[in-house]
Amino acid sequence: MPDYNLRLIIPEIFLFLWALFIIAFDLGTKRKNPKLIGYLTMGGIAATAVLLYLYHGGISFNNMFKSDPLALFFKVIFLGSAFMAVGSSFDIIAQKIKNHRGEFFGLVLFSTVGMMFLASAGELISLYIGLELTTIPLFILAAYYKDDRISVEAGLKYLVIGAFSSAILLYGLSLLYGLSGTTDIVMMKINLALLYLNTNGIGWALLMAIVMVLAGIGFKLALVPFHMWAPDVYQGAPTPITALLSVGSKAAGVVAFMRIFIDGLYGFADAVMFPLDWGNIVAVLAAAAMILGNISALRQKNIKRMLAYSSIAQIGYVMVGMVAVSELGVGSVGYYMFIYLFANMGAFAVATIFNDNTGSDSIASYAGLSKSSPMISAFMAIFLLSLAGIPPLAGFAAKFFVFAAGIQAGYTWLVILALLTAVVSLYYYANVIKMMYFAPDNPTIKLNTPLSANIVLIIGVAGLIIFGVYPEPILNFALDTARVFGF
Amino acid sequence: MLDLIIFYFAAVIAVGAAVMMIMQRNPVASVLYLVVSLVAQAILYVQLNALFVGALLIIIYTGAILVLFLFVIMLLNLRGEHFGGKQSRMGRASKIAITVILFAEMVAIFKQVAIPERIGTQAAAVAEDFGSVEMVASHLFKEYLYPFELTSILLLVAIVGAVVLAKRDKTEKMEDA
Amino acid sequence: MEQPLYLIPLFPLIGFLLNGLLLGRLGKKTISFIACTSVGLSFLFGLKFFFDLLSLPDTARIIENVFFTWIPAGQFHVNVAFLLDPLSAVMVLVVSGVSFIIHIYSIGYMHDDAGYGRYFTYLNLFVFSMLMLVLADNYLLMFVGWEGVGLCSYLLIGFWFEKKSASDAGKKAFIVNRIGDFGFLLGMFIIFWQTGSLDFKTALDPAVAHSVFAVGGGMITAATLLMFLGATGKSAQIPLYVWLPDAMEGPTPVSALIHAATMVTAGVYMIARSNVLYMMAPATMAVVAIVGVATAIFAGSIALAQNDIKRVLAYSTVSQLGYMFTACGVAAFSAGIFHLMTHAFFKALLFLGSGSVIHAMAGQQDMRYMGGLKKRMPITFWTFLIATLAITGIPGLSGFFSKDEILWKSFSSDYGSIWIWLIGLITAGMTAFYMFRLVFLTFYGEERMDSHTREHLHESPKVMTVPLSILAVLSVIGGYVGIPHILGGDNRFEKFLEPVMKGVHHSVEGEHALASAAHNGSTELILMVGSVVLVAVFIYLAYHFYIKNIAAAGKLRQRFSGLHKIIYGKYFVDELYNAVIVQPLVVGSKFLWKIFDVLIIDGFINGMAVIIGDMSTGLRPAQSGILRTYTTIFLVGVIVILGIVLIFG
Repeated sequence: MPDYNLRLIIPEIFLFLWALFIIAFDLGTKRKNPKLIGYLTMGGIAATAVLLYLYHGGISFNNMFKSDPLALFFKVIFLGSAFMAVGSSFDIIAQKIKNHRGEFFGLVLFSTVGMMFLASAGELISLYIGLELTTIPLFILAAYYKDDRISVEAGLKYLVIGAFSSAILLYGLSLLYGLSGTTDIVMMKINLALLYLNTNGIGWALLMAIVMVLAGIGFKLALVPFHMWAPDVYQGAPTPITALLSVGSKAAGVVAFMRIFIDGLYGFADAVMFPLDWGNIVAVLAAAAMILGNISALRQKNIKRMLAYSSIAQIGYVMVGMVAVSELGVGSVGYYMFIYLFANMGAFAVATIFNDNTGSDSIASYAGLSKSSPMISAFMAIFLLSLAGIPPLAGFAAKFFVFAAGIQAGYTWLVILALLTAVVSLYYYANVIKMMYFAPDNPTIKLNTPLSANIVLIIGVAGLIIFGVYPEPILNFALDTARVFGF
Repeated sequence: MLDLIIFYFAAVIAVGAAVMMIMQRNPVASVLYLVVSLVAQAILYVQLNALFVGALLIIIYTGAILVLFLFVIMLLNLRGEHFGGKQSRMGRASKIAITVILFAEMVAIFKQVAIPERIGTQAAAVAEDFGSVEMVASHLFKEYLYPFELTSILLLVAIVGAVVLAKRDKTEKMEDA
Repeated sequence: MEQPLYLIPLFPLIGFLLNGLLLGRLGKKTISFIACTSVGLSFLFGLKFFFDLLSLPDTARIIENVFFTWIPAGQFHVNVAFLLDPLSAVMVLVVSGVSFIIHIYSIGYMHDDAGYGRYFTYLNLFVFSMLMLVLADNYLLMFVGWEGVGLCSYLLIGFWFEKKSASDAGKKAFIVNRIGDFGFLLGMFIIFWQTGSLDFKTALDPAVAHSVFAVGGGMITAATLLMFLGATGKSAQIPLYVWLPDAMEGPTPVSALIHAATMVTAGVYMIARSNVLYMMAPATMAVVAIVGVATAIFAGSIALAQNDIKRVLAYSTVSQLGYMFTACGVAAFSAGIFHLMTHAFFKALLFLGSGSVIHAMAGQQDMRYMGGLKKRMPITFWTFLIATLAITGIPGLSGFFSKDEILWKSFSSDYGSIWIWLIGLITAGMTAFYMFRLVFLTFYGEERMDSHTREHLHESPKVMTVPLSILAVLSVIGGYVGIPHILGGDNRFEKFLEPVMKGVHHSVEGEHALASAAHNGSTELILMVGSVVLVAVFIYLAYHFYIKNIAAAGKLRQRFSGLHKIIYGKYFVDELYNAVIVQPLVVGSKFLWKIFDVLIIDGFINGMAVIIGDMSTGLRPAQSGILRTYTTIFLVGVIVILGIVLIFG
């Protein structure tokens, strides 16, 4: 009888049950208390974080569930993004969603549970199911404004392309299983190495698997060229869900990528397969993502679309650290995602608040915001400047680490390109700031923010400033995750 | 030899029916082609000694799910034109071209691979009771209990989602006071 | 020695936070009190630590203050730590001192502005960032300050954003500077990659540098060139100088503080700081010197024909910065810093004086509508004249010593050449001409303004004239810390900075600089007299054209109308950049948008369908049309990657 070690899985179980409780509670109270369930959801997420602190470290279910530093680190990001998404959706819940409020929060939690399972997955099947569990609630959440054609379209597009990419991912995973004879990622690493040494031409089948898995996970990451869905879905989905998609779900993709590529396919990152190592392939995609994302973002007039393209570009920067396949590389990617949590969730929270109050998503309508809402404008400016990588905000340190990792690993061309595109990116981020600060007054704007949204904004700004000035704790934590891969 | 003949026969039918399925504009015909394809796939499983999986495929997919599909299609009275206008010739050609190129690339890649006799360290002789119900059950409920349970969560989530999406919104009556 | 150096930048930070958080809730008096006091305290602490530094023996003049470890990861050890050595001490005093004076001046200048609180908030943030920049003990922290001052500059240039030109100018400054920053960052990465450290103490240790870099090698040349690119952005040199003249859209005290006295000199500071590395890359040194001197004469010639009083001063600043870079390029880093200091005094004074004039003229900046202000504004006039004499290099004033030092070094240094000296000399003549043209047009001659403005002409209030007077005094005496040997001084300034300029002494064994000065005593004297005579001639020319024989100027202009058009049009560099860089980017962006958003998304395939006449597909909801395209592209992505794999495999 294998050792199930259920203790380690307590946080996930709790969050799952809590999601059921939220749905039941909403039904039981006749859906009269949107605020209360919102706070209950946030409380549940916080409680999960506490449980995570109490119960972590070790493996269970025969190595299928790993509670290692990597999983822990990313679970914190998932919980953070869910917390901030829930916190910024109070007005939406009150104004736009009359029914199924409990389910809204419940589905957010389900998706978070999925991400957590995914982060802990030590073998391919549970990794895949975790991925689906992450994505399926998001299909529904993206289409949550049932009267809004754009939202329904967004959900549908996400669903169809998600299913499509799942098929490709599964094909790749089945190839990996076929080649290695195991779904366990660590075993797979060993078996593939043996196979590679013993068998001629097996690299080709591996490449096939690599490309397929890359496409499947590339969908989650919105990595060019698998990003087509992102702008439409980001624009159509309720804004907090967009935020969750762009941070939580993306971080889930990052951790899945790490588990499969940096762990399982470690040996094929550079020397053996050069020039067809997955490092080079991913580097090219990252370059494409940075160029395309940044240049497309330049001309966006809708803030959500702009942020969508920006997040396409951001994942390119993340991949610069990823292809380094080193301690600093893994650590910098973790750090980047952690900071990205604050900056992007914050920016989307402001977009949510703005939309709730004015009903507009266009960047032009932000004109003169600094006059009527100086605090929120200042916050937005901080979020955007951090995304652009302006010191001393944390976004700068994050970019600095991934670039340093890239240089260290010899991807100089990629880093030069990344720096150049970062210059371009500043233009569109600064454009919003220019609107807010350097545009004539717009008397129609009067932003009221619910308490929960203020909490979210303050967490975001505090995170960016504190971890920008003092990144040590997070960085050490992130570098610690690299131990998982034996760096 | 007979095995090989059956294999190719079933394989061609499985792939051919799948292709036919997506080429159809009539949804009912589409579903029926899917049935054919699934039955052929079940034959392949049986050939691989995976009797139980083959049986499941027929009972659950063809027996339950596809029948449900047919019901839905007939109840909603869906016809081909509900699935969008006819594709232009260019669109069709480009898709066929893409499929052919992808297939050619896969062939080109796999041709370079010498498939090894034994794979990995785990490859042992096929167990006596391979593919039997007991064997599957013991794997599913012991070794792979964890992903199995995860699937149950996934199903629950899918149900919740389906309810949310399918349920008609009540009007303002439910509005809080 | 360890001292609480953080006290220097702390107060402006507090001022920034107080004014920023309580924006709109404080009275004007309180705001200016907070802002000025905080900068004043910075200056006082700067002085205190400066004297502490002086009390140390020559070789040990370093005060450190490790605040905390910023980035602790393994080999990535970067501290938030401050370093006060002679170089940063000079910078701290100049920055905080000039800032303080300009803060006081701003109380009067900005008095009626609606954005009073915002103005002082930004200004304090600027002082904080600038002090961070000069006090940092590593490149990364320096970069933080570097970006901080850039941001403040952006905010302050666009301060009057109701004017479209102002917000455009802000944007331009921001973008151009980012190009420079890109170079700086990349250079920094190379230094880190090679030396394993970003600390000045390690990375700029001659022993370390010589052990990892080959003198004149590709790596060191690349690193220094990239960092020089950063410097050209921040310090407005060719090719990135274009933002500075437009930056004059900001309030005049800002032009004085940020775009003349302090921020724009950051590039010079950075290169002087990195002298160890630069001395190891002779090719880069040559580039620095050539770019510097080319900028000097280029910008100087543009200044000859401008009519906007602030634009003349802006191009003059670019030109003077060119001098500083020339000094760095010929390995006379101390001379560059010396000129940086004196320039801070007299150029700040010139800008503040012009601000006083603009204030009196109710916003009029065109010199053609001024004239005869001498009697109306005596204090402004006299202080302005002193600054003008200083910048033209009249013996006895600060500019004379520093400029002459640069000219002499560019002639005598191993890195210099007679050509650099000659161009520098011509530029000095130009400087004399355009500065006196400015003075004559503004303060002499007939009063060309309309009668309404004339009635309201007045000398500025005390709060503005006192800062002018202080700066005037500094412009006179500022040069006496660095009297050259030839004039009987012992160049205390250079000696003071000597411990920092390890690169120079490492390469010439500490003798060259002194030796050459002694050997060529007579040559130096001749050159000095020559340049003074040339300046005098050009002043006379300006007098001739703009006072004595006004018609002559017009005739001259007509005669060389083509040339005048080119110079007046600033050589059309903006137009060139627009055509070569901006337009292609805009077009490229549109092109990509057309390709990816319209052509592919809305449908490569759908588009075909539309062409063929099947309109319904395009009009139907997403599931029928666009989605197909998305999945198709997804697959195309896979196919392309596989194809690449197959091709390269």
